[in-house]
Amino acid sequence: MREALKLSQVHFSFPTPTGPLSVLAGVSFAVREGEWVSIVGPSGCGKTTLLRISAGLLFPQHGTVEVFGRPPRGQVAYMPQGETLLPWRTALGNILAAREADGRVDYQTRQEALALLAQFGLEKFAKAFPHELSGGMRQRVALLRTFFANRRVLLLDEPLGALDALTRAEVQDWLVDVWQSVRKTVVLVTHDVEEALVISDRVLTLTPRPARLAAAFPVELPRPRERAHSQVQALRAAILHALAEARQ
Amino acid sequence: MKKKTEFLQALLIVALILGLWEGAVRVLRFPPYVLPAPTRIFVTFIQDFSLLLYHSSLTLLEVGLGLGMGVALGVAVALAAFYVRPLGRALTPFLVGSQVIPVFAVAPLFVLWFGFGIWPKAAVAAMIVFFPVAVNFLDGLQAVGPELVEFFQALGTPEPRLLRMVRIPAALPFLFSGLRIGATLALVGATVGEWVGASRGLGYLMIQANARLRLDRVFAAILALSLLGLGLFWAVGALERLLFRRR
Repeated sequence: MREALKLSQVHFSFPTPTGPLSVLAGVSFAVREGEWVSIVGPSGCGKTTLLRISAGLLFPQHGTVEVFGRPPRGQVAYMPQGETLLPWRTALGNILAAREADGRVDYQTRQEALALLAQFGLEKFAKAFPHELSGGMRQRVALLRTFFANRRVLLLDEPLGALDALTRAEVQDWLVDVWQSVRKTVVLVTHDVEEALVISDRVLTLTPRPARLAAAFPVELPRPRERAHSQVQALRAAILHALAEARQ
Repeated sequence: MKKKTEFLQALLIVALILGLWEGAVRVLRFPPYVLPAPTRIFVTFIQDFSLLLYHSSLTLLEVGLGLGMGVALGVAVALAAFYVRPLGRALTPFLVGSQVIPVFAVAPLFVLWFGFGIWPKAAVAAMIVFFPVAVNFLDGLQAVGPELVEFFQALGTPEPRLLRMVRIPAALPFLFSGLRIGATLALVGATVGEWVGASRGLGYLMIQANARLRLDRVFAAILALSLLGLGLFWAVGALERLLFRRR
C-alpha cells in the first residue's frame, strides 16, 4: 500500500519570551492510503501542532512532511477544533463550501452533496443554519463537509471533543459508517482512547511535551466494534498504561 | 408585548414633554421668534412641506454620496491595513486617534477647497463615515477565528476566494455597526457643511430662517432632519436584516 502521509523526524518549537518552547521532538510515522490512524496523548502535548504541520499550515524547523510524496498544503482536508461551520451558510451551503474552495460548484455537485446528506441521515437539516442545529448535528455536518472535500487525506482535530458522552458515542458509530462508505485516509487526534479504538486501524500514543511517538497499537477487530468487547477493553488498558508510562 | 409597552411609554414621555412645552408657551406668552409652540411648528412643517422636501432631498443626496465614498474608502483602507501588516500597525493609532478630530471644525476648510456645491458636504459626510467603517471593518477582519479559516487554507484556497467566502461575510456585521454610527453622524456633518456655505439644503434653510427670526421654520427643519436621521438609521438596519436575514 502507498504511504499517504509521511512525517520524518519532525521537530517544532514555538518562540516564547524566555526562548524557544519545544513542542515536537522528532516525530516520525507514516499513514498508509485508506488507513485510519488515531493519535492520543495528554492535553497540551502538541497534537494540534502535529496536525497543523501535517496540513501545511505550520512548518517544522527540522524534518519533512509529505502527502503522497509532495508538500501537504492544498492536498489535505483539515478540520480544526471548535465550531468550524460558516454561521451564515446552511448545512448544505457549508458542505458545498468544501468544493467551492476549489472553484465554482455546478448542479451535479449540489446533487452529490444532497445525496451525501441523505445517505447519512441529515437530509432534514440541509436547509438549517448551524445555530439551529444541536452540537452533535453541527459536528456531523462539519465532518461530512471534510469528507466532501476533493481530498484523499483528512485530518480531524478533536471533532467530538465538545460533545456529551452519549452523543459522542452516537456520532462515533455514525462516523464509522461514513468512513466505511467514503473510504479516505484519516488521521484523528483525540484524548478519548475508547473513541480511537472504536474507529481506528491503528492508535499512536504521544509522550508529554516535547512530544515523541511513545507506542503504536494496531487494532485488528472487525467494525462495528462493541465498546465493551474484551479486546477493546484490553487494548484500552494497554494504551492507558503506555500513556502513564510515557509521563514518567 | 414588552416592546409594545416600551413604545407606548416612549410615546407618553414625548407627549408629556410636548404638552409642557405647549402649555409653557401659551401661559408664559413666549413670542414665536423666541420659542414657537409645538402646534405652530407642526403647522409650519405642513405648510413648508414642499420646501422642506426640496432641501431635504439635497441634504440626503450629499449624505448618500458621502456614505458611498466613506464606505468605499473605509473598506479599502481596512483591507490594506489587514493585508499589509506594517501598514496596519502604522495606521491603527491614527484610525483610533482620528475619532477625537472635530470633523465639524474641518467643514469650513472643505468649503474652501471644494467650493459651495454638494461636494464639500459630501466630503464631510464621507470623512465622518470613513473612520468608524474602517476601524470596525478592520476589527471584524482581525476577529475571524482560525477555526473558520484554516479549513480553507489547508485546502489551498487562494486568498481572494477566502476573502470573499469567509473573511468578508464574517466581518460584515462589524462594518454595519460602524455604518450605523456613521450614517446618522454624516447627516449632521452634511448639515454643518451647509451652515458654512451653501445655497441649498436643510442646513442652509435653517441658517436663512434663523436670520429672519422664523424659528418655527428652524424647528420644522430640525424635525425634517430628525426624520431623515431616523430614516437613515432604519435603512441601514433594514439592509443589515436583509443581508443577515437567516443568521
